[in-house]
Amino acid sequence: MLFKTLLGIWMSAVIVASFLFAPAAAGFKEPEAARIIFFHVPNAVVASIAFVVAMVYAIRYLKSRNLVDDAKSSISAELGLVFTVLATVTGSLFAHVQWGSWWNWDTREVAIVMLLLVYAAYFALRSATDGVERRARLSAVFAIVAVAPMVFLMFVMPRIMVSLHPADTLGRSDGLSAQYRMVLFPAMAGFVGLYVWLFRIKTAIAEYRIKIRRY
Amino acid sequence: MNPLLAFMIAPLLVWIGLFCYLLSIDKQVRKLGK
Repeated sequence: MLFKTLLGIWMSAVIVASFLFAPAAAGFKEPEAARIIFFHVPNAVVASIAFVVAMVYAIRYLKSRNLVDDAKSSISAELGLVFTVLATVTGSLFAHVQWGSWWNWDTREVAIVMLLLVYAAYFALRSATDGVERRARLSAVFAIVAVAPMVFLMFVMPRIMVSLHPADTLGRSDGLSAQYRMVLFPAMAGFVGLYVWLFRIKTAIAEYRIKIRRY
Repeated sequence: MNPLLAFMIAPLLVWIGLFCYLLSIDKQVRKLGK
């Protein structure tokens, strides 16, 4: 219960800080609208983490053949997909403000659509495969292989191609101001906490379904 | 009222709503495990 209470307070504080503590970002077309990065960036970061976790549990499943590992892998991929959709929506909102159009077919936008398609294919595969063991085995292999395009699409492609989207803002010293960092990093921690909570709830449901043989 | 403060209420309400919803699901899931 402590974790949930802390998360509730933490995220509320992050929302308040993103509006009241962080100043309007100079240099943006709509300086006040730049606050969306406190939600957009953590969503994208959590999505990447979720896909890596899906891969880790997929490897564990192939070793252990325990259906709980398969369930954890698919739950993480599912949450990764949800957070990717949220990153896309918040990105599109900001693109409308900053670049003047909801969708520009920018490198980063194309990359995220491709990523969504990769993981949509993962769930298409899961729903199209008969037999629990066979489905778990095939989707585990998919979840492992899918990390390669995920890393390429999220981290490599936007850096080697021309893009309107800023890159390495967190790594560069001239990127974000100290006040923005003081809100963004706690926001990331909060979103990771939310992911962990959702993961635990869905895992408990999946374990129960496995127990009553309704998985 | 500061317009920024007014705008802040929307995400805060969304979060509080989501938090309460997740708490209730979490409670039900705990019962399920028993």
